[in-house]
Amino acid sequence: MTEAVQESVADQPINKGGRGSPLRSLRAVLGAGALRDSSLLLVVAVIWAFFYARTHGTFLTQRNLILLALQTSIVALAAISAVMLIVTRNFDLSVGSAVALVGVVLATLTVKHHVNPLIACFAALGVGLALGFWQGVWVTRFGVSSFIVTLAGMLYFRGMSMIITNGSTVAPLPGSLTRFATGFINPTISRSLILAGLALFLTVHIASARRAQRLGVVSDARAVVVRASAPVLLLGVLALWLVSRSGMPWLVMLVVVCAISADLLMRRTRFGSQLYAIGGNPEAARLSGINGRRVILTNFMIAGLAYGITGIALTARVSGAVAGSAGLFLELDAIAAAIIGGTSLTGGRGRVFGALVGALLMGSLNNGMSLMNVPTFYQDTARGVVLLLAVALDQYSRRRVVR
Amino acid sequence: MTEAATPLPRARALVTIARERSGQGLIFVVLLGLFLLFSVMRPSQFPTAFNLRSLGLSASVIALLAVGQTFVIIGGGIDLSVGSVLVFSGVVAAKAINGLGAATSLGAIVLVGTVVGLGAGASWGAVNGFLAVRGGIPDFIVTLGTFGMAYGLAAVITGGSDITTPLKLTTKLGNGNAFGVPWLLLIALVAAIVMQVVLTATRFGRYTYAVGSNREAGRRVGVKVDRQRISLYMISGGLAGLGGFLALALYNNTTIGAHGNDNLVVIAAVVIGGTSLFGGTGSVLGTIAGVLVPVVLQNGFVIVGVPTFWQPVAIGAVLIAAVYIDGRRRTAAR
Amino acid sequence: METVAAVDTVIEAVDIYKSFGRVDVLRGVSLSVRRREIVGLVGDNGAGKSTLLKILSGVESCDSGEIRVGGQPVNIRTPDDAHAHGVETVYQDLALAPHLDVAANLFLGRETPRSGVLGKLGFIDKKAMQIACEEDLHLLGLRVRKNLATARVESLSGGQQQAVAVARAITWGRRLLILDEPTAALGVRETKQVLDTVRRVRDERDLSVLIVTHDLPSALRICDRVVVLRLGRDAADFDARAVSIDQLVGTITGVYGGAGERDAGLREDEL
Repeated sequence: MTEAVQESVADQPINKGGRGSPLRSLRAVLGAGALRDSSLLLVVAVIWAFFYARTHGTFLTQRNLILLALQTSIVALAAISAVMLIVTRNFDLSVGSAVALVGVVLATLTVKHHVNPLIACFAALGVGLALGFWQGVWVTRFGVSSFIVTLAGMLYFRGMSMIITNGSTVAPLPGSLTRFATGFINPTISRSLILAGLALFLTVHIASARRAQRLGVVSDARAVVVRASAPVLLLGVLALWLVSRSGMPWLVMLVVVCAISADLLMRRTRFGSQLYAIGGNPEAARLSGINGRRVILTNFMIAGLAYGITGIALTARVSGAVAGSAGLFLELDAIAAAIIGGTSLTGGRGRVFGALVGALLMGSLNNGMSLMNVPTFYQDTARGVVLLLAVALDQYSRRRVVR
Repeated sequence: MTEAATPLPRARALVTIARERSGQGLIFVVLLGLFLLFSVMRPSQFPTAFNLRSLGLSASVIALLAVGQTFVIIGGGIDLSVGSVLVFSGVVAAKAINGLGAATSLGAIVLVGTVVGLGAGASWGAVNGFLAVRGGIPDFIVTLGTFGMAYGLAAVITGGSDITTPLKLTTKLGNGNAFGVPWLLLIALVAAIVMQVVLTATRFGRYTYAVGSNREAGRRVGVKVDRQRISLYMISGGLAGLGGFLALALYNNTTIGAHGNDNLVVIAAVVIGGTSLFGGTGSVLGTIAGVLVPVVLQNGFVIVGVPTFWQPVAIGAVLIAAVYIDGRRRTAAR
Repeated sequence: METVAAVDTVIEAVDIYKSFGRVDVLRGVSLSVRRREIVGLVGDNGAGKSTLLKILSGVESCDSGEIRVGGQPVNIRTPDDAHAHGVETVYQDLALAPHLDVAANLFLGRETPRSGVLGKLGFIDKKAMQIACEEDLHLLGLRVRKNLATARVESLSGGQQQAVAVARAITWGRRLLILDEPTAALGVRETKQVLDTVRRVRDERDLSVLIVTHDLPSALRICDRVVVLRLGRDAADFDARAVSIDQLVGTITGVYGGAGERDAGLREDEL
């Protein structure tokens, strides 16, 4: 008798968390790690619905959503590398200025020296890589914190851009470059690309869920697949509709390719797991034989590559380099996107796709408020509030999970 | 024999002390060196009363922000909102001043402006502190958020265009002198000295170091850690608010668009001045030197005729060098 | 006999319960420390030693139960409360501010104010604190290096830092000194030094000491009494002179029976 009572008492705490009020199940949804990206997508959906209602439908037109995707793409590119750095507890405040410098190099080479655009692009990538390497050396070899190194970089990269261009705009870029950044992939090809992507995703996903079931990690593979792929399928359908008229912008394709590569790099490679290990516990990572310096240096060189790609994309999109204002505040937008997307400032936690959704969220706010003719200064206020709310929500849900 | 032996260890001790203090001292040497360099290069233009005056004026507002930021950073935090808080407080103070009526005396204007500016700034500081300390949101994000909010609200209040303030405020206070020294410079100096004394000689100052050095230790010996940290953000906000009022006096209007970069300039100055970004060490005096180095560089570059674009390059180099040398010194001390 | 014991008891924890979420860490612990007594608190990992310590020193508060100081029930909710009742703790991580100097750490939270108006304004008397610090360290025999008071704590060795933390607790403690794993990070010689100091202080300053430790030989050597915690309860209470290490280990691991043993504990025999 006594034993039976004790057993039920012992069971109780475990049940406590599982069932309960709707509030608690909401917490559970917010807290579940796999669903966090989806819950952020839910926030985006709410924002879209709001703007749809307030703009009499203008917000949710093909034209506007394609524009939104284009507007988001630059921040998204910068946010991808921000996630990789923040995961290892490093900061990059220099990305805006570095992007400007890369753009200046690209524009100067093609406009003033008439270098072949393709070669100029490689030169710009090389410059980006060199900037990343240079900062990485200061962080890893000389032990100066990345906050300082990149804060200084932010100052002198901008200064160097101004020196090279003498403060004036270098434009217009050759048509081949601008066509890349403003052009579209043929609708039929776009559609087949999206379908192929979806098929690939489902195949990989179902296979890995099956394997997980075989290994006993999950009990019901089908439920896992349905739950995790529902948002992806939804996005796929949305994308199919969006590209149906004019096709997919090359720039968006570039973001998708970069994001997938970065995500695979972070989650499927040894290098990626080393990044998370260093960010989670640098000392433990060192003791387990990870060469932290080399990993971080590589990390910064990848960020440098991102400077190159982002710089080319930005410069090509606006068809010129404006040394003074190109990429201004890009670093803050990128960090904000990463953090809204669930990347932890204390390291060890962060996903590329979360950052993309974070960038999309901020881009949606900007786009929607512009459509509503909200003065820019209200937009700043609203963005500040949303940033705070998103992070507070994230902190809250995480605390729930820990307990 | 023993007497002959004593000087050696004493000399060694002196070397050790010199090495331990050199991190703080170095930046003053750099400052002095720059000063001498420009003085020698342009003796008739650089070390003149007129130029030094303009040097002091351009440093004074940033210095106020930097002093507040020093407290926050020593306490282990960071405040990115200062530039916008300055703008917001300036706008609110301008509204209040302009509401007083044209016949109001200068004294009343200064009093109202100071109180409103300080109050508005300290309120933002309280918001920052509360969200960061009680809300547990990283202060980087909190202050980035309030950076956008304060700027946006300032622009909402003014409708996006700058508000002009009474001219006598600018002629008497902004460009005015007291005992031959510009008022603004004097105010910034007094604020810096007071805050340096608070930092080194009072319990508040000691707790500031303690919460930045080891928060948990502070808590265990009974320091009110949360209250202390919130106060630090309020000091930073309050001084930014005062800076907002002084900027009104200096520029005769609210200069809404001119402070987007202040936060990073200020953090750079604090770090150049020897305050560790990880908290626990630093001084207001060092920060003042850290504010002056970029200002002297900029001023000197203009006078010598170096393109202004080189200025960020030079400041960036000084920033990295200062932190690198500081790091070397610290590892050597171990 | 009963009354003598009550007067003689410096601090008592009675029937303390504490749980973190779903984990019940303390399930009715009772512990008492008498005047001038050195009590060892031992137990396996997870037995609740450090939680009990945190409750006594005000870092955590208990869910239910009572703490009595000098026979009177008291509320200890913050470290300040514990300090007010004369209870000082040397934490395992020492709880020192590495960037501050030794004197500042010794007086942290209890700075000597300047006299007069300045003191009211929050000004502190650094010179007085430095002198007092040097004196304290000297009295305790902990003056490990010249001008120690103005040395930054981060420049000291581990043993020296420990000495500073011990000195702080001794300086302010009036009733009870709690030491959390005082010897965990120390060499043999330093361990002996700390333990010698503790014993001397007990005699000179009329303090009681509660030592939480894994180091059973040291515990037996220095303590008058050893209390064993097991699974959140006080499992046994031994006279340190009359117990062997094997017995202790047996009680800690539960080989010699469970919590029931506390009722038949050896204290009764001893009295």
